[in-house]
Amino acid sequence: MNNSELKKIICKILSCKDKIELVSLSNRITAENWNYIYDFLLSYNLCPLFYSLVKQNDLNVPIEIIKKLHKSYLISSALHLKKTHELKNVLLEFNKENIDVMPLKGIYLAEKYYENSALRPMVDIDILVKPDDVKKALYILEKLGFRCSKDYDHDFQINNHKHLPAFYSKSNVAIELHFTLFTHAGYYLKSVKIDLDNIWSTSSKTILYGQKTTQMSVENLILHLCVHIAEDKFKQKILHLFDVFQVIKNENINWQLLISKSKEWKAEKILYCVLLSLNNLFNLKINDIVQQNLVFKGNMSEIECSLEKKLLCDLSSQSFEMVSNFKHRNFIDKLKYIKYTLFSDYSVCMFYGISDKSFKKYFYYIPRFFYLFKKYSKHFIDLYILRKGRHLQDTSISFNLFDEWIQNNEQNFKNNK
Amino acid sequence: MQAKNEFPTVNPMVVYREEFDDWAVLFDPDTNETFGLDPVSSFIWKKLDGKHSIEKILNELDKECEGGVPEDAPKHIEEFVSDLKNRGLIGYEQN
Repeated sequence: MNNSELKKIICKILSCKDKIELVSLSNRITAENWNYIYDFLLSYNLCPLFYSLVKQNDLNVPIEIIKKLHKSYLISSALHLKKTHELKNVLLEFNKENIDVMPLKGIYLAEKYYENSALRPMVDIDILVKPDDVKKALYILEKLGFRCSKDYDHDFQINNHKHLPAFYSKSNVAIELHFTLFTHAGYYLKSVKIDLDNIWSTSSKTILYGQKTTQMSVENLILHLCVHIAEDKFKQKILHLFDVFQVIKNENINWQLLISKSKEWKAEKILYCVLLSLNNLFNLKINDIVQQNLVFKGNMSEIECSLEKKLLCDLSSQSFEMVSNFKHRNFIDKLKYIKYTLFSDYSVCMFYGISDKSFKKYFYYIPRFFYLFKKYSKHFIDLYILRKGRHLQDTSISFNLFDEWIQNNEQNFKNNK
Repeated sequence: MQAKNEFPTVNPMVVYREEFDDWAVLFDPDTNETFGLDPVSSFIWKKLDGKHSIEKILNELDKECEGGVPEDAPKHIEEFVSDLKNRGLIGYEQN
């Protein structure tokens, strides 16, 4: 069984509710595959989720792997306790100052859609406040002892990014204060448009950790999660796909509304790709309304195959980036890519915390070059291998095919109802 | 050694989270430290309510364990409770 097939079995296990089928799926994994599977689960942040399935269903997994999974589970639980404690204090203080706050992604999903919040590991806490409340919210975070680990230019961040840099509490819990959900600063998605006013006006009040807070409508939530997956180019986003799976499983979705919103957001291809992946990896049936309304031009079987490769890819994140963006572009495109992603005013100002209006930014290009050389040099080997390896070469062609398809947002429905 | 009229009780600031597999995690917001408790330690923690002496906890643990607790269990429980005390996770109530 190859690595991709193994990963697909794990995805099936994660989404399976039938004990007999679970046992039968896990029995297909042979003893020599378990170390690879553990590495996969660890790098994709799936250990806690898998551990709970193993324990609850008594799956046949080697004891040393169970021990490692258990350790990951406990770490996730401990970190979650710390995050909960910090967020509770933040929400309390925000409520005192009447600041509307919307917990996003991991912290919200863990609490609302997972049977147990430790099953959903996360790096930091993401919260959204209204743009007018940013300064007040920031003041409260600082009052609570949160500190930013680097210098940054406030106006530059507000104008070019979707959140301020991470602020860390004394217990090292990171909070990212978002004031919007999407910017066009990234190289990848250009056409997506999120209506922030609509996000707030269709939101509702809820209680999280005993504190009043705000949540997105389910359709906006799904679309936001889909766009977030696409922002990271779908690479290795199995846990994030599982988030969408959990939301769809637990909510009554207004599919017509979801599709129409996806068109407003210009994210219909993204939504379709996510649903297609959920169908392929987690056996989630694609709703009929989606099948009738989202039909695209193009070689869909090739797109599907490329999407799956991206989701289940074994390459490291940086190597993936290089494969995806560097190989098989012509020379001019390569230069444009370098200029846009590595040496843009945005990336230099962002990285060194200086204003984009300051002339100082020009002095930072040389340190930036050395920094990137150090960071990426070990991945040049991947590029070297790519020149030689037919399989990886095919992979990079496949990635580019997919990227070009998803970036091309011309109206290319076969049947645009 | 604990006096007979002392009853250990958990620090109310410490957060205890019981897991589905009978393990548990403790979080002390004062120190930002977290601790994993195995099922036996978790059982003991739940009895640290200011009403159970160590002797009483030992008796209840003995009833819970198939075949009873091992001979050196009292020593281990004393050490465990003492460790919790040193870390500020519990205190004692005098009755």
